[in-house]
Amino acid sequence: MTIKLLPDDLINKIAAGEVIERPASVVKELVENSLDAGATRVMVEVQEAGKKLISVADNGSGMTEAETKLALQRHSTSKITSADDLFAIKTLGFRGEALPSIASVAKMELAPNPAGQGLTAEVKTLFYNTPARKKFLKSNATEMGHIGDIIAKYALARPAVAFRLTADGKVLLNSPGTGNLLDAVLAVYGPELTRELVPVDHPFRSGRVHGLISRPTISRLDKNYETFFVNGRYVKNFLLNRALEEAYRTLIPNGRYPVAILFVEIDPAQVDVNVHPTKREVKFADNTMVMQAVREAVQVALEVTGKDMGADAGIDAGGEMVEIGSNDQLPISGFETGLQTLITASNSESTELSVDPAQPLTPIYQLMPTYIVATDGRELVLIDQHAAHERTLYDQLSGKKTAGASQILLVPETIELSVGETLALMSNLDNLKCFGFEIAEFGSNSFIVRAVPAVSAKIPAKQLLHDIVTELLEEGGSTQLEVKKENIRKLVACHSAIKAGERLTPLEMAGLIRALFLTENPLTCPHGRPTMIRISQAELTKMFGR
Amino acid sequence: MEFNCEKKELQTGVSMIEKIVSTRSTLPIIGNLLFEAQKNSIKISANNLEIGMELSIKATVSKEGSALLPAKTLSGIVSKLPETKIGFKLGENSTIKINYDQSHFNLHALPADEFPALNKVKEGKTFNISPETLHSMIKQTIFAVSGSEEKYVLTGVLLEAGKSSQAGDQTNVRLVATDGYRLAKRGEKIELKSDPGISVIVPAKALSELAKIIDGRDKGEVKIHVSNEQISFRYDDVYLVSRLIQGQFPDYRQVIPKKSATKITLSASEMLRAAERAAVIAAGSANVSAFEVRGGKLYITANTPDVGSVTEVIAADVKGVEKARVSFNIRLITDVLNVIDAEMVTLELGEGLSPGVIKPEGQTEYLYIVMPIRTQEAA
Repeated sequence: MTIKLLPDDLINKIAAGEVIERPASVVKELVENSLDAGATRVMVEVQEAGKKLISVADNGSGMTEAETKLALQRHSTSKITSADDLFAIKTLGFRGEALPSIASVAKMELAPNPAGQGLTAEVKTLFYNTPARKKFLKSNATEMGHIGDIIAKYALARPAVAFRLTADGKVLLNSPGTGNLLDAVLAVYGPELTRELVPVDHPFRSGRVHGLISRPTISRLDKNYETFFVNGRYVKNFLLNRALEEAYRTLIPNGRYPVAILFVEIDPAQVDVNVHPTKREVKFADNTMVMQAVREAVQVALEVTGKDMGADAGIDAGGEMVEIGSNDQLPISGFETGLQTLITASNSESTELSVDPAQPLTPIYQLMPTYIVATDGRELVLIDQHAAHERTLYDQLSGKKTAGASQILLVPETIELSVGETLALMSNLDNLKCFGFEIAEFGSNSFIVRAVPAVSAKIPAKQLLHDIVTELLEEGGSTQLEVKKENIRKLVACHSAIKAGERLTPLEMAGLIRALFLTENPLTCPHGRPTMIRISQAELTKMFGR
Repeated sequence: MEFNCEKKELQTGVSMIEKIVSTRSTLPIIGNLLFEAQKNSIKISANNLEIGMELSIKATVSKEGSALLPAKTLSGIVSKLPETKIGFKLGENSTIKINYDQSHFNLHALPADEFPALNKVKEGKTFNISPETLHSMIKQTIFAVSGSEEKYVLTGVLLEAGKSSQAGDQTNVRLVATDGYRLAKRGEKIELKSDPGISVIVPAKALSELAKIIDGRDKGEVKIHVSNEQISFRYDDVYLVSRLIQGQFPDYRQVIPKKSATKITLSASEMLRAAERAAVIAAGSANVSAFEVRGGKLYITANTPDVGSVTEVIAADVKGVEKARVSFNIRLITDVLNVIDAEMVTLELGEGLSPGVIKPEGQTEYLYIVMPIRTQEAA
């Protein structure tokens, strides 16, 4: 074995492996350089989701011809000069690895503006010399979604900087750079969501938490709308998410998440950003203090909005007054599950518990209220209400007649999406139509919904579509048509089904069980999880040691 | 505090008010009922911070005062008490002694001043309406509200009092509810001293509690007060107050179809029974049922693979184009037929996929709009 030093070129490629994963990583590094150069205008243009061209033009301090040459060398940077600086980092980049890394896997040009102000960086044919990495790139829509996400995060992080993102000639995002966070949020998320946000501003021992959070009247399916910036840097830190969610606990349903754009300003000595090469992760010297600060900041802001609304709407939101088995139902009917019709009238009147031989299983009780406790007179059965309903809807969506049935809306609704969501929706539009959605483009990043799948008519159209798009975006998606279609079928079934925690009347439970046993495979949900667990007499005997 | 009252009075009061008590709150104090003894009556109040209620029952008060009693425990006791005089006495250590015949309970009470006071509507717009009319209006609209908190304004019912801006609408009180797929509108012309100009969204929960209070009552009037944030209803000795839902209710006037291609009149009960039978089959296929008018009859059909199919035929008086064919969610049809009081109903269908309109025959006050379903067969 001969040990030798690696050539620079190879070192750069290895480093690039860590830093440059996909076109979005290039965009991130270039945008950070623009911001560190003091730019107030950053214009990003991509072609073919960045695979063909990524161009970032800014009006920052720029470079001279000579500097552009040095910048492409490894560990060259203007941002720090000594190790001491590492502990008081105020710039976004500092390693001096970005540009050489990019240059090692793509054709790169740095063109200073002749006037001496501003720089245009162009990256062409990314990964031309690393075919393995190129092969692992996802579809254009997915890669573009990542780029949109990066620009959105910076537009939020730097409201004073005007960002423009253009993809193949189409403007996807345009933030005005007024310095007002609300304007930036408007550009990223649209007016509807912006209206539902309330300001947060809360000092704590080592800094300040400020930004915008959603009223408890809206919520999202995933944490992607929880955005945190620590000293202006976009970070992922599950402790921050947890602190935020704790403040919303009891205010929004389980399994749904708030929208937040929160800035944590903290003494740089209290935070370590040098944890991960892409610098998304941070470590705090005192986790508890930061978590408490976030939690308190959110609680205070929510309390203020609660008072605005005349009464504390949050405390009893979803407060349930109807108990299972009580005959005193609200006279609001029909909208819940519409399953009761499967039941004969005589069954509804009998108050005594007896096993109905005409029923595959007789419901006894709704536990937590998430599981239906049922029996056929011999075995004890626990049914997951969501999985069971999901299975019945999935089968209905596979049926010839109901697969594409569309329930038309009384008033068409407009829905506003982020860049990534728009692309995810666009690339699945035909499949969504197959299952009954009627959706049309309505200006930039907004869509008009005219109809939803007939099986989904108990869920508000906007919520349904938003939840589905959120998942499409997360999954990235396959390029195979059949796989895509099957995926949409599952998503529609999942998001139209009753959720854990929803109360059902005894009639609805019995109806759900009947409907479940009409399906092709009553024992599992479309994702393959069990819909029911059976406990036999033998097992009970064994457990009780009889 | 010391008083005695008839068990019947007490039970009526407690069972009416305990329904708005919240037990799943982060604020345990609101799981209590506030008892206030004054002169010769007892005032009982509950407040779940969204809806508040207050009512009085007759009693012989020997010592005025107040106390908080746990609602669920008290209601459990009261419903099982014998039909006799029940005595209440607040003793030392804030214990309430409830005695009857030769037996007694000792119940732990809390001091009354910890209870969040009912925020009453002091100023604002007002009008009166008969309990019978109001009950019927609520019954015919409330079922159409949205069940999803995500669509908050639609979890309430729009209440309008005053002249309608819609041409030809003679009503001066209206309730409108919609979940985005169907819409129920009930108007009424009542005597109003002046035009109150009210347009607010009332939480369905408040109206459903009110409906229980005025159910079967035909005397007197319900006094309604509306401020910017709240609405209150006073009937007899009962006072109900709720916060309003803030936001923009969809403009219902826009969705009311101006004309129809086919108008059929048929028996409401026959249509309901036919629809309920069809619903048994349709439940297996997203409740989709096809409606077709031909040969002076209405055909309702549904089919579910592996289960079967149904064809219901109902005699109808048909005006306009025959062979109209459109699909609806059958649950949205049975919902409205269940609350219509008339013997005959009219069903109006437009061209293609325009909405269906159901009305009681000869009545203009009630209107139900249901959006159709596009099926692949039709496309």
